[in-house]
Amino acid sequence: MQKIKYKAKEWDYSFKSMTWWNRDKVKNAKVMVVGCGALGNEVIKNLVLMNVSNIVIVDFDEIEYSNLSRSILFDHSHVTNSSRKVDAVKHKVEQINPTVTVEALHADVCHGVGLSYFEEVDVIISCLDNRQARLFLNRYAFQFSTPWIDGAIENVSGTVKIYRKGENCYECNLTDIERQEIKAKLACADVAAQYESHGSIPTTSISASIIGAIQVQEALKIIHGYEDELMTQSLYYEGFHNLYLNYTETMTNPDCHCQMEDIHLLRTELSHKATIESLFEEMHKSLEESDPIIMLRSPLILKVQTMNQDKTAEISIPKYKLKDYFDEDLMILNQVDRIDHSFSDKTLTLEDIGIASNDIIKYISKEGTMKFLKLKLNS
Amino acid sequence: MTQDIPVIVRVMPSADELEISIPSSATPRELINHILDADIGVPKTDAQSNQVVYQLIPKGKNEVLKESETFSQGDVQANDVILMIPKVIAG
Repeated sequence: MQKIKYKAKEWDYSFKSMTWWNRDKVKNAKVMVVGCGALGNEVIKNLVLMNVSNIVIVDFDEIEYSNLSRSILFDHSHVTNSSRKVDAVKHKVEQINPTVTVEALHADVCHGVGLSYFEEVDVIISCLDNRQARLFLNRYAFQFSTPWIDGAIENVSGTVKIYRKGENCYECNLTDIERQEIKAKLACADVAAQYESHGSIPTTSISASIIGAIQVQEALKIIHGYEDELMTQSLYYEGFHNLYLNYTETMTNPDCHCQMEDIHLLRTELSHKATIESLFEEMHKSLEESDPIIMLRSPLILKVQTMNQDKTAEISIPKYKLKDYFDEDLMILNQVDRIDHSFSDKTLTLEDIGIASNDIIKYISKEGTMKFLKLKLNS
Repeated sequence: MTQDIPVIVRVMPSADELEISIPSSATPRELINHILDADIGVPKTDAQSNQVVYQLIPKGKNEVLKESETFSQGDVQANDVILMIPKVIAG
């Protein structure tokens, strides 16, 4: 790798005297930030100021007035225009530091973000507001042994935790109450209701600044490879009484997803824009898979009915996108969670059936084993 | 044999302190439920109506007590200060 030389008036020129700083590592690092609320704003601001040059941001929300009091990257025009959070953040940070590349994904991290992002980034920073998404993030990150740094805030308090496969695990340390709540919410057909937060918990820019700064400091240690300097314990911070509590969570479940071995990736030149038919052809040709079974992350809904049973429709829409197409509640009459050669409409694209850009397809091979096929990013 | 262990529970974020005697055979889950049911202003739900989940951490040991293990198994001693902290989820 070519070493990048410092020049005066370059963005990170003043950092060169920091002994721990390695500009090459920071410039070449890729970080994913999930959630662009109060905490996400602070995290992204710090990453950009520290010149982390490749940032993927994920959020499915639009900006509301209540966001302005705690989000440095949003302004009144974003509220007036109902701007999407990811678009506003991308626009603002590229104004602040034009050398940074921001990839904005307006998506739900559980369904709409290609799994390759979890593999490609050096670290994931979680600025989420619900347990369900954290659980998904934990599972996906650990599939590729990617570390993730969780932050959370409320009032003038907050927490920071670093999760690394083999060391600690979000899922293992869930209490029974949390597991019940997650299960109940995931059973809810209404995706919006699964993430019903929307700024109702009081948070402040102060706690967001403190917690977000610590998350980014730890992310920089991971980027630099400073393993020994990383936080080894979780932090609970409470600002009103000046409590800084470092503590350890020790639960380990031998049946947890975190105990899985890393997956081996197969690759294809196809993207999520390819049809099901062309995928099967390609898998047959290149991988000698004669009858693969594609596993879907979100069920594909094939038939719905209105609640008063007066209308029925045959559709092909991933369950998590139903609300984008229908305003009313619907009864689901037919759905599939896997696709094989018997599927009736193979002219549908992979995107149509809920496979995201830069995704990794999970399939059952002819030997009956689970395999993983990485799609090409459709640029 | 079950013994009562006098401890101080400091409930965060208010930092209110409760002097409580806990049976050594009781579990953190039972103590948390007891405090929540005592109607002393410790929030049971957040602004989203989600149940607030608490953890107990003896000061000085700084390790979360396992919710189903007894205080005896968790080596909780008389006069320990136990922090009761919420698992924060907002962002």
